[in-house]
Amino acid sequence: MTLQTFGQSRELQTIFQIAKLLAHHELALGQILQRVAEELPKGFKYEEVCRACIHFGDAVYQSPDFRVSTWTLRAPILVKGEAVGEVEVVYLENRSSRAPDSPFHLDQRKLVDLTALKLGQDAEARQEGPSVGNLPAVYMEKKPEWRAILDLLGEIDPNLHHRLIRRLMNHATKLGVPGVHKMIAQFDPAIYAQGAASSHGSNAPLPKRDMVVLRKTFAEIQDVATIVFEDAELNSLIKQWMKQDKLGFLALATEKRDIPLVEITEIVDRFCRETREGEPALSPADDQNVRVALIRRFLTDNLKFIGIAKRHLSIYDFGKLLGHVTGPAQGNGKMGGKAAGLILASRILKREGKGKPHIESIRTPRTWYFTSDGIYNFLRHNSLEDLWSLKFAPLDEVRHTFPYLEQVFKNSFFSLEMYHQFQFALDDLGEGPLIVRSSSLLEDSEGTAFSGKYRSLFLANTGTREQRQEALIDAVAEVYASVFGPDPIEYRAERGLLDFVEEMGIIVQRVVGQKVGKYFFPAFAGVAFSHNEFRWSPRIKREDGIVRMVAGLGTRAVDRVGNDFPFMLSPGQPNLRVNVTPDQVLHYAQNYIDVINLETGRFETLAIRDVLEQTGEEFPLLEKIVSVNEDGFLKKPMKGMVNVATDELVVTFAGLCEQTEFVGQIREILGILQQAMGSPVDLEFAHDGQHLHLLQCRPQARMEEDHHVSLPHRIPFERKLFSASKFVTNGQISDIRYLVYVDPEEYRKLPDLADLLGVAEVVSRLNALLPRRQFILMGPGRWGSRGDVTLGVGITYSGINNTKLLVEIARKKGNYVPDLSFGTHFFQDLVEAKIHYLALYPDEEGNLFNEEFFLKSPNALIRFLPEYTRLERCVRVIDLEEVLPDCELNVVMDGDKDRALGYIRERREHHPDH
Amino acid sequence: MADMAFNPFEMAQKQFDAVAEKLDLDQGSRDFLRTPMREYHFNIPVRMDSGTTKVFKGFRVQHNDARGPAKGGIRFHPHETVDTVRALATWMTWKCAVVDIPLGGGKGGVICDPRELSDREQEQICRGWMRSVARNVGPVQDVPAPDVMTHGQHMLWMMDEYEHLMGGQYPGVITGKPVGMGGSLGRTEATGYGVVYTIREALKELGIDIKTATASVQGAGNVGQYTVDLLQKYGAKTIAISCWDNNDKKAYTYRCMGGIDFQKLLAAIDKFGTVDPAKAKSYGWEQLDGDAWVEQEVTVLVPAAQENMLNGSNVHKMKASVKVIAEGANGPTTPEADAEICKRGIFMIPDFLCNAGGVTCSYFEQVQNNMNYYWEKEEVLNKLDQKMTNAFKAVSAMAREKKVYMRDAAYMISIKRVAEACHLRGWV
Repeated sequence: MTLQTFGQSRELQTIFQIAKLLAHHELALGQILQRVAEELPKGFKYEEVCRACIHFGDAVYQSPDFRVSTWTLRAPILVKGEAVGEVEVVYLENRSSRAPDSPFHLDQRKLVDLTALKLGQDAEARQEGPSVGNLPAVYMEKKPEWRAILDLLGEIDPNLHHRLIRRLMNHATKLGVPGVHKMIAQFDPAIYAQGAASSHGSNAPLPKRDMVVLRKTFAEIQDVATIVFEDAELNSLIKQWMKQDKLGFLALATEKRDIPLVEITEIVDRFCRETREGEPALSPADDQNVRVALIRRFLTDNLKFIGIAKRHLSIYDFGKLLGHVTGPAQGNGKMGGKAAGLILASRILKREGKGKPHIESIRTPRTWYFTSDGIYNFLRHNSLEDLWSLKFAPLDEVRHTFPYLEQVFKNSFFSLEMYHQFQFALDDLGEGPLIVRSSSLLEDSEGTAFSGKYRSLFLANTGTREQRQEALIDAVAEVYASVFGPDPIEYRAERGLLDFVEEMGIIVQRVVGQKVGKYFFPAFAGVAFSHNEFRWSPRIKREDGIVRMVAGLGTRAVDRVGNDFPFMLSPGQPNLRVNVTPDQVLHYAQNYIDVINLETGRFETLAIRDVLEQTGEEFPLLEKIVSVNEDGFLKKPMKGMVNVATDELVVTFAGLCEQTEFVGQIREILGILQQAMGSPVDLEFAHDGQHLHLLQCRPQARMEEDHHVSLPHRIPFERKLFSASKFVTNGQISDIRYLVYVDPEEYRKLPDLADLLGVAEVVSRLNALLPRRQFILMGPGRWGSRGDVTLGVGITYSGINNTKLLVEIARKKGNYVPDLSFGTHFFQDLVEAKIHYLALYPDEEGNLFNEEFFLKSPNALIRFLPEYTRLERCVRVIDLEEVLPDCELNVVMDGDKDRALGYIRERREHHPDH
Repeated sequence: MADMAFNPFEMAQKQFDAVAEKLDLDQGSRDFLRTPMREYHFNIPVRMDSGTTKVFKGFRVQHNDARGPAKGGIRFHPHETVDTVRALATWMTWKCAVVDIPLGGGKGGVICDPRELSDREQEQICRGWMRSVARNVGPVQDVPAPDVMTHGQHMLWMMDEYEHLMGGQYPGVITGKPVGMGGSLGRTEATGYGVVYTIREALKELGIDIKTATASVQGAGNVGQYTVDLLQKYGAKTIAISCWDNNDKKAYTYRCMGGIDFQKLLAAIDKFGTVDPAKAKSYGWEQLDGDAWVEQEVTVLVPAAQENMLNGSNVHKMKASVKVIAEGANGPTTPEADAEICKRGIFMIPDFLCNAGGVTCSYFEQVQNNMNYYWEKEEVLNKLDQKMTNAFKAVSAMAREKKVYMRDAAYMISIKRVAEACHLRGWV
């Protein structure tokens, strides 16, 4: 042992000397204590003015010239927890200029503590009789176990040896063993560069440490450990570190960014089998490192998401998950945005909901994930790779090519590998309806929700194994094709995401629901949002959230449906209903239900009355979902007391909202997820009659709250074009040159479907031709509804994305009713694209609508689209520059007062009306 | 726009003045009947769900109770005005008088928007309303009922509050209650059947056998449906019925020359009165244009849907076969069409007589409540028949006697009855 090497640390050297003294058990305790008292001052910087004194029982041992001083350090000597004496060190004078009150520094304080500790241990050992095991082992022949292991490793695995020593050093530093930080400091370039040639500038390579010096340092740290730690503790620590180090394979594997799916799956699986959840298998840093790497590998590169996910997802979560992840074995695809959102949300709920039965009971359906690179495999296998450039083609071309492309995809083949994977997943999922959903890399992140842009397809999943597999493969091909659809491409182009290589993960999920007769559907399903952007009462706050739900499959809640009314609720204010009187409730109730017909294997929309008649009381949660209308009096039925043949049943969800925990459950889920995700969220859920299931979770698209603007006064009557007094949100738009007006009366009169669709086509093309955000679209009914185009212009997102404002007009004639469909994909798109929305009720008292202006102003449609003369009466394009030169349309929306006004004002006017 | 606002009370007064002139009423009666006898204005403080207190303004107007306790609805509306309530109370007086039920006219309301109130808050408003006027309403004073944005549940809360205050069972304090909680059977059929009772009487007067009569009904809602039902029971044929198709968003007329069967109609119709075209086809019903109901070769036309459905543009399409028009809806005939009908000498059964089956049934509800004995549906409908028949006969006699149009006769008879009651009581 080369104690001289401790020259760098006075304190450590002293500890060694004391340890050495204590090892002389032939000496009497009194002798040892006297020599310790003499040795102790040498550990202090101003040794010449330092003195020590040890009280032990009644005896006192002092260094020469000891006397009491102002500057003193004390530590008690404990034997079996009781103080039997005290170690005291004093400076006779204070030579430290920095700290006049206490000249001692931390390491010195620790030196005194450690001395007292060692003396106590020694005294205790002596009381129990001479035993070799209790004496410091540093000078003994027999090495303790940990030391033997380290020595052996030094021979056979120097790298592991170094790693363990490094951890030992860190451990000692962490526990404040004096002097160790100085040993570590030797590796600090700034310090050892001082000793090296001064010619080294900051840009020069660092000098390399001499291996001999390193080895010496390693030996020293082991000696220090011998003295300051118990052997038993060190034995266990070294073993734990070795085990953790052994599991380093995981860290190493996850470090590899392109590690193939099959390899990483196997490694994570091995890790999970070799360790148990809850035990410290990896050091906290390694654990976090692996988690981050796995999140990055499978879920996303988005830093915000990673930051949240790493707090909630454990390696074991991935272990469980990867059993249901498949894709090209040698590939390195991810699971996509939708999958990531769902996985994270379900983990958060599991973690945060502990001890809360109504949250713990929330489930997610059995799911398989196909990684996003599957689409490459598919395209390559069918030599369709040239399609990647389609996104840069003109949108018209994309639109025309797409239907053909969809068929090409559906008639293409999957590689044998993927074919087998589908089979395997299908066998695991078993029979019963499935939903095939897109989960692209871009999907569901903040600001780019891609709501409804890619396909989601229901499969009845009945028939022979081959038939089921064929149907699944066909559906996946269709979802893949949707990457090349005009809507998502337009959507990406708008957000500057075209250059990103979009990959498409696939989620295959069991549909939540029950088999009832020949149908399969959930009791109810819908969407929920943390923020309510559509408030039907000023008493409802934005933070109160909103739920939009239907009985049966949730498609009717998510899509805009022309002829139906989903149920809406604000979880923060569940008592303030949208519809109040029984008449309103009856009129605005759900009339149709989406189901999967297990006999035909198809997704069907049926009259809810017919389904209720057929299913009777088997309809899941029937008495919670419907009310019985008895001459205009809506009664919540009692269980078993519904007669579907004679009772008039209305979907009201009254029982569900008033008699179950559902509202509280949704409110709490929204709260937990919003807090954990750090932003408002948007969920999809379904209830199978037993449990609530979470189907999707993503950040909620938000309309930036425009600051409040009041309606201007003194606008001449002839300059006012329209006013609204319902469902107005705050906002102001100006600088509008063109108004595209679809005349409700003419639209109603259009003779056939071709013309109705023609209107949508004209609007789409105007949307592309007119200067972006300098025009508004106005027209009858609900735009972009699924199904019936007579109820509103049948258009998709890419046909309206350039407008500044969408105005839906409800005339008494034609029964056009703008839908309060906040929460549908269509509305999410408007919100995301910051397109304002306004509903006009021109025939209601107090509202203004200058129909003459819209009908008599010259129509510029033919200037833009000469081929559409036949629709000239129906679609009117008003160019304000032509009608009223130097004027523009201004629309002021005062959400607080629920009033809006559209009026003409001169351009460059300096807000004369405010 | 506010300065041009329509004042319903002024209109009701003008209407009254015109009839008073025809009846040559004395000035005292005119002054007395032009305005309500009593009005109650009060504040209803409500502890809101948020813990704060909000005060709502409530009214009850009793226009006239010379013939019996006032009767009329309670409205919850954010833009309620006392003048609207006054006008509606006045009309209730005339309506009850024309069917000769021993009730006067009243109306009430609260300025509030139920869309912005939770159920609990609405309950507090109902109870607060009743607490404010409990001494002034009741089975023998004034009997409220549901109206705009109020419904059966509100009535039950109010009834319950009244019974608490009075310490007894008084279901007759309010009508519009659900069956089993004091509501009357027969309410569903009442208006439609009432329409047919008056048609039957009109045909009798014209010497037409109802079994040979044919009808065309506009609107397949509650009134239209039960009109078809009873006509069929009387052996008359409804050969056409029009309805709004909620899916196609346009109206259709369905025609069956052999007569529309009520049971088939019920099976084919949804809660909004839309006939399922597929079922109609399977029954062999023809699908015609929405407006085709007017043009049918029938004896009776029954507009039973919305206002202004018989107007200048279609009144000329009526066939010469039409002998009776029964106004099942409120205000279905425009003045222009009215003039043409009058000119052609078609027998007009005016709305407030023709569709008074509803208010008569409310009266029966109250009668049953007061004696705490409930009739079978048949008994209710029999009594309804008697009331409607008598009312019809009186109006018709007045029209013949004074040689006035039925609509005017109806007003004259009701105002005469009220004025007489006031006179007999020695009020004027």
